[in-house]
Amino acid sequence: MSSGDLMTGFSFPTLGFPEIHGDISPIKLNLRKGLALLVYLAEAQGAVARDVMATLLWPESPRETIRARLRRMLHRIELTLGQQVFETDRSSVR
Amino acid sequence: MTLDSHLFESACDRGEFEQACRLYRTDFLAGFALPDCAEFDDWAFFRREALRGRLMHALERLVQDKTAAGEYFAATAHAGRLVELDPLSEVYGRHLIRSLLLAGDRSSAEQAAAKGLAKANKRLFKESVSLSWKLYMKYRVRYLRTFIQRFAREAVVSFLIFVLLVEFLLHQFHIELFVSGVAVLALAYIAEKIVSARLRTRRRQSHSRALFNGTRDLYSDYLVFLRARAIAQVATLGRDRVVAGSLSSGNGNPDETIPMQKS
Repeated sequence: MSSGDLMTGFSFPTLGFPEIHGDISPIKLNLRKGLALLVYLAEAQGAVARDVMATLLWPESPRETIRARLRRMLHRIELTLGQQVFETDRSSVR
Repeated sequence: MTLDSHLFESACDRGEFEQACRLYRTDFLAGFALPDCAEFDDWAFFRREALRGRLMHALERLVQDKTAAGEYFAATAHAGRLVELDPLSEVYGRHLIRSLLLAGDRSSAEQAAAKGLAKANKRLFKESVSLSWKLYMKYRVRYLRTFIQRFAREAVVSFLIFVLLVEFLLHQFHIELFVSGVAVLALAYIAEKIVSARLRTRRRQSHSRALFNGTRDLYSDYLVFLRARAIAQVATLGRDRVVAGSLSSGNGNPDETIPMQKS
């Protein structure tokens, strides 16, 4: 299943400031790194290694810390959007 | 999820350049940055430049197609967008002036030529000031930092030696004081070595990053300078020819001219 199948009812323009639009109105995601994560994953059009994603967003922190932060970030984004948008396994996310 | 950037690229791949140019409202992630994530910003920068490059290519094709089809007003609109994207490009400036002349709008063509020259001069001045300021700050900061570090190190050691001497002169020689003084000096020396080693590592990392950014900036400034000089020359030439009633088509053959249409 592709991310397009999972993330239904949203549009996500990236030409300009990135914003998520739901069916009715824009969804405010107050997480700049969350937006960056969504943009990167959507542009990748496939699975991205968790380490790559985490290092991209938190370059200065230790590995275990950034993996935990990434987990929390994914959870918070799904909470905000109100549905499952990521496919994850132990090593990658899409 | 389908992204507009992907739709834009698909339209370019299919050769639907008008559709592609409509989709490209503004730059990729315009106004969005993560200051503490240099890698992400670099990725976004290169992606933005790639998309801009494709847009420019699409607009160039549109200008050519519209001109060939005799739709000069449409060609003018696309050429105008090209000039907005790269105000210092002599080629795009020439596209715009040509399209305006072919559309019979001679006064706008003259204005475009003059505007191109003014913009080029302004940008050239701004860039040269900015480049000089960057270089000045870079060297000033580097020398200032070295000076402060040296001064601090010398000051600490001198102060400790001074204290030991005063102790020796005023209170005669005490072996405990002497030993403790030497110990403090040794500790200070070791601490300084550790700190400077750490600083060196950090400096090396930040230096390599600064070197990359600096090289990129300098390269881009140099390109801007070259383009500015070229457009300034071409704009002057173009203005003279517009005034004279004809304009070179810009393919390197000065004999080939486009006759002016009477408005």
